[in-house]
Formats: sequence, C-alpha cells, structure tokens
Amino acid sequence: MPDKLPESAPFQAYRGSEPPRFVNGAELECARILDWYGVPWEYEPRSFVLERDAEGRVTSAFTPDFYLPEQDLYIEVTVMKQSLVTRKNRKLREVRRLYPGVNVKLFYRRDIERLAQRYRLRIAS
Amino acid sequence: MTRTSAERLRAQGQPIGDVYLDRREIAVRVSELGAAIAEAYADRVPLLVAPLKSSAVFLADLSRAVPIDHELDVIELAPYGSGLSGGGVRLLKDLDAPLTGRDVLLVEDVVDTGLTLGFLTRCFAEREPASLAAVTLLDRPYRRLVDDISLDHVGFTVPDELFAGYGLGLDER
Repeated sequence: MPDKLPESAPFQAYRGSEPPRFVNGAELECARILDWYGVPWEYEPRSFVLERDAEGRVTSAFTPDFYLPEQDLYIEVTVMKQSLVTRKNRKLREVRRLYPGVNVKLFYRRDIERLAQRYRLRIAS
Repeated sequence: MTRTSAERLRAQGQPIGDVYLDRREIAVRVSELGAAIAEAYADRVPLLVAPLKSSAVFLADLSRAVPIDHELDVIELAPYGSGLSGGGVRLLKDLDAPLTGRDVLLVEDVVDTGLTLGFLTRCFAEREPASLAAVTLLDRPYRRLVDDISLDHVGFTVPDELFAGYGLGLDER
C-alpha cells in the first residue's frame, strides 16, 4: 500500500461531503473512471453491521468503497488476487443475507486491470 | 505453415487462450442481428453510430448484414489518461450530422461496465433523436455498473474473461 497517493484534481461527480481518502491506487483509479464518465459516486458512505456481541457492540462490519446513488449500487474494490479474497467474499455473502435489498459488487484486481486495458489507464500499484 | 494471430501473440508472451468464437459463428450471428435490426426499423432509415476504434470491424460487418437503407457515422472519445480528458469525457471526433428526429442505433463491440454506452446514451439523448437503441456484439453483464442503458440487441453473452480479435484490441493491436 503506498504511503501517500498522488494528488488528484477535484472530483466533478463526487457526491460526498468529506474529501475521499483512498487507501490504494486501484480505488483512486476507479474514482477517476467514474468521474471521467460523469457517474455520481460517494466514497464509503455506509457501513453494514454484520455481527454484534452480547452487549450489542459491533464485532463485524463491512464498508463498501463506493456507492453509486443513481444505480443504487455499492462497489467494493480489492487489490487482492481473486484466490485470496475468501474472507471478503464471506462478508459480502453476509451483507446479501442480512440486507437483501442491498446491491454490492466486488471488483477484483483483474477487473481493474481489464478496465485499465480498455481505457488505457496506468494503474498505480 | 502460416501462424494464426492467436499463435503469433501467444509466442510473443501474450496470455492468449483458446478460440472462443470462430469466424463462422460470428458471421452467422451478425447476419441474425442484421435481420433483427432490419425488422425493428422497417420503413425507417436508422443511423448506425459506432465509437472508434474497436467497434469498426463489427460496424462494417453489421452494415453489410442490415438489408435496409441505413446510414453510418462514427464518434471518437479521448482516451482516459491521455491528458485530454481533464474534467470529463472529451470527443476527439463528433458525429457529422445532427441527431434530431433520427432513429439512432449505437453499435458497440463489447459492453461490460456499461460506462461508455451509458455516457453515449446520455450524450445522444440530449440531441433529441426520434429513438435511441444499442446493439453489442459481446455482452459481459457481470461487472455492470450502469444499468440504465438501452441494450436492445446482443450478439453473444460471453464469460467474464477478456477477449481479443475481431477489432477488439490487445495492447492497441
């Protein structure tokens, strides 16, 4: 994970109130793609509680990276290889089970690479 | 023996797999699409519009397969990351004629996220065409981000893999 991501011009299609703080280059590139196409997006606007302990404290939650309000769609971007995302997939299944009306899609590294190839991006590692 | 494009690219280290659709399968399906489009636009003269460059081969074959009068036009978007696109999509080449009152059929080689088609649909809808529809040779719906697109004709729904050939470039080739 890079210590500091490159500076980015203000986003045109960002609909959040706080400046997004991306944790890796793939998230930043996804944001740029959405912005380039003028698709409104938010960054981590909601956490889904998956598990609480006996006292009601949250012990497991899932926070998708992006939300597209016009599509009512959450996107989780992972830079892990598809074979290493078992835990994340388990959380995704839990979200779908506990919140059946919520639509979440997982984008893997290869999806980002495919977007990069299609749109001639240079993905930050 | 002459090597096929797939064999040549494989020898260059490109991750090329087996042939998924051969020449005959594509030709048969394009012919069927042409007939369906002719039926949908009977007594009208549709304008087939394709974004350059990868849709060019499909546009040419589809045009030959549509047995009614129609017109062609192309549009080219500045590639993301080219330095030409700050602030959003920029057109390198716009359409030659107005779309007002025209029956417009967008011709795409492949639709996956739907971002390009969604953008073009929004862009063209503002130009007040009589109708706006889309055809794609390949549909890969698994990673769709934009669903409000009018994808009326689909050649093949293909697996969630990357495809090359028939105008679909691999490293711009």
